[in-house]
Amino acid sequence: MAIIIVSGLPRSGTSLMMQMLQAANIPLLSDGQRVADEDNPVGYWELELVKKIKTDNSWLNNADCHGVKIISPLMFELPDEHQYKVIVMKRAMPEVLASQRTMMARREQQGSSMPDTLLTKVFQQQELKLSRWLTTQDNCRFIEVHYGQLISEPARQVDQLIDFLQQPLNHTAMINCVDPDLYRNRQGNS
Amino acid sequence: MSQKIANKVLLLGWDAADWKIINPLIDAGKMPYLERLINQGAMGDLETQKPILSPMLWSSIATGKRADKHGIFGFTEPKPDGSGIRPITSTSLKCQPIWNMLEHSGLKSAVVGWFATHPAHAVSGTVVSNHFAQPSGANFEQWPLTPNTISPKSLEATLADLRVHPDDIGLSELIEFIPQAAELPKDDKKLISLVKLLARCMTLHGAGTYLAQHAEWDLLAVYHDTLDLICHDFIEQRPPKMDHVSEKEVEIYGGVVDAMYCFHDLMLGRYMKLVGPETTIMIVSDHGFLSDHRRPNVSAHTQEGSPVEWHRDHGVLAVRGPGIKADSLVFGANQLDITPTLLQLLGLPVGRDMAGKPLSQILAQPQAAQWIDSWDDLIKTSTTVEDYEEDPWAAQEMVKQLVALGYIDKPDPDATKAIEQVTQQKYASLTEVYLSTNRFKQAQEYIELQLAHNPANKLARLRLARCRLKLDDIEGCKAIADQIVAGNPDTPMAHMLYGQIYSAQGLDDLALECFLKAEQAGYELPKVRYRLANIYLRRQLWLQAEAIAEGLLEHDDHNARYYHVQGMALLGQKRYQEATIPLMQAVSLRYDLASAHVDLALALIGQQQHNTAINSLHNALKSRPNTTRAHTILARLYKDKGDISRSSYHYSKSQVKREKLVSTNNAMTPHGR
Repeated sequence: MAIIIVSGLPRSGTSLMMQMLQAANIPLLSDGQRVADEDNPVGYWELELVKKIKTDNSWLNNADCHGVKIISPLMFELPDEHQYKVIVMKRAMPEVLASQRTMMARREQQGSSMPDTLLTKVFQQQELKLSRWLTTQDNCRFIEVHYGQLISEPARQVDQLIDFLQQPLNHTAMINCVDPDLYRNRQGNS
Repeated sequence: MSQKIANKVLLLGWDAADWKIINPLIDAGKMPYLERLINQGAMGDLETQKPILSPMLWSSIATGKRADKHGIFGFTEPKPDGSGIRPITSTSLKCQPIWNMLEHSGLKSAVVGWFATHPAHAVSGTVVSNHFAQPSGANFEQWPLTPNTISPKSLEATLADLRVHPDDIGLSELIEFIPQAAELPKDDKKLISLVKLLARCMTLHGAGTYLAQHAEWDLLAVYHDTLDLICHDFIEQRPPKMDHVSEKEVEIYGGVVDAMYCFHDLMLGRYMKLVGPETTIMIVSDHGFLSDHRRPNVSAHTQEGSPVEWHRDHGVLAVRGPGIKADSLVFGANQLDITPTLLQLLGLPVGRDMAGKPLSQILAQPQAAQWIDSWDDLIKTSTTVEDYEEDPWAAQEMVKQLVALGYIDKPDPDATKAIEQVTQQKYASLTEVYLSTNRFKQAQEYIELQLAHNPANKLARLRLARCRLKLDDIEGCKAIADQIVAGNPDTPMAHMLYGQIYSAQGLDDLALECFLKAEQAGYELPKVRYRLANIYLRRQLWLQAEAIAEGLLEHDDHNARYYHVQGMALLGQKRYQEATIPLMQAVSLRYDLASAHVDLALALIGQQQHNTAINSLHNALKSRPNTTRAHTILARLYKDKGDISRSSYHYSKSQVKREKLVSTNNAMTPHGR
């Protein structure tokens, strides 16, 4: 028994992974408040309560065997009393930043004023911090999934995922979620 | 490795220590240990940097670099998760402090109480962090040791026992500072403040003296902020009486500042006994503290007043030990010189990327320092992802990005406000760093960030006007000036502003008219009169300039620019010998004042001291390598000496700059108001 967490930086493929888990019949913790849009046409699969995890993590008490998306900066707030299987999404940093920029432009929001070179280092540091932290947590097992590889060789990646989750999952349904057309916003082209 | 001059070095950081307070105490025989130290060694003023903020300055003292390189801009920084702010941390330091350089070289360091040393484990060597002496709880028993304040952890139990809680301070200690302490109510705010500061001071002294005896060290650095904090709380009550202070307050609290200086002397005496004459002792302060007629009419209190306005531009430097010249004066020392000097004393190379220089003038037998490109490159060979691991400013940018993307909640409005304030403080600090080092383009960038946050920020707009003026953007400067005066050109500030614009355009008649109007209105008189004096100098009205300089020096006898004006006025009258004195004062107070070095050279040439003049001109070029006047005069002097090669070199350098000037001047057209 463990809570299945999909983590990573925003725009690293976390929503795609959530969709794959749903296709594999893993129940998801998602409230549907953040609805599908141009940035995530199939949906975000998010839970607003996740944002409050620092002050209220009681919702995790009923989360065993469920999948939930928690972006990397919030992972460090996970309480010790649960077991977690963490799928960490990785994606080439220029693609992550380009995708974030496009999304912020659509939302008419202004993010960091840092140049991409520095912001890349900040996010790389975040990834490194999460990796280090996960290796020191006795209650966490984790696997890293690279978005580019998931798109180019989904069958192999799904095999590894099923092996990691140690559950009989619908291999084909999971692969079918991977739509190369969704591999967008690469290098800023949305 | 170069020759090691010092066996060991004890560096005592006395925040805000000031010769203007110390000298009368020494004369009265009340600081005998410091008197002995300066008789055995060298002493002088230590020039500060702008802005005069202690965490920034002490980080410069420990690194040899300015804030734009070391990354400490004030007392606080954002928490990486965006939930608020926190005191600055050791992980925020962006370059290597001297303790890391020593440890990297196989020498041992110990540091106590220094800014940006918490958490202690992130710093090399033995460390007692700046959070160690912060008390909590009602008494010692209820005061747990703050985690991560001591490294190695094996010292925790011993050093924790040496702490002094405010509750431990009794009347017998207090009456040394306030003789009427017994008659004061227990809730007397000033008494409570004194108790806390005394406990803190004794805690740091306890840790420092313990390490002096029991730790292995080549450099022991101990920082005390007590003098600064005591001055902020008690300097207004120190005689002579200020208008807003009552006789009674002077009677009760008037002796606290001096008593605390005497207490520091006792602490110094203890160290002198512990470390012996074979150890080099260096005392430095980051700035001075106004204690005379220049005390401003605003409160010095750190919470309620304008504390920075009370900081004086010069702190103290005193050093004695093997190889140090006895009973000598140090000129032109800057706090950025401390790390390079310590490195030379300990036989280690100085980083070429440091802003300071080794103070070889303190050595009995001067010797050349060894140099390397950068300690930062040596200790950390490449910029890695880990460099950014704990950077709170960078993490804050990530939080902004994630909020904008909708992945995390907006931080609490109070936290956001606090972070915004601390960020604006960083921008203001960086602006001052760039302005004070003539990097006007960079300063302009940070001023614009401040104005984007608060377009009504008058100080930022004045600074923007100054930058544009310095960058020859006269029209841009005028546009800002028009905004600032807001259609009211007859105010003193408007006269001052437009006077500077006319002056930059060479329209001296109009400038003079403006400055005289500002003077008549009593607007910031020293600043206006300094400008007036410069116009008089340009018009060769030497006597008028000399008269103004005398007045300015009566107001502030530690201002290098005022001495420079006086020197130039005397030089203009061909009173070369007399001019030498104020010009030497100017460069001793501000060693980076290249034009003063050049004028000093002219005064020396007037006395046929050509070799000394050549040295002075080279000093000018060390500060500003493109000083045309220095190159021109050097070309002539070397030609006279028959050194054609050097003469040609400096001649070609003078022409390069001149060509640039001609092209710039041709591109400028004068504009009237």
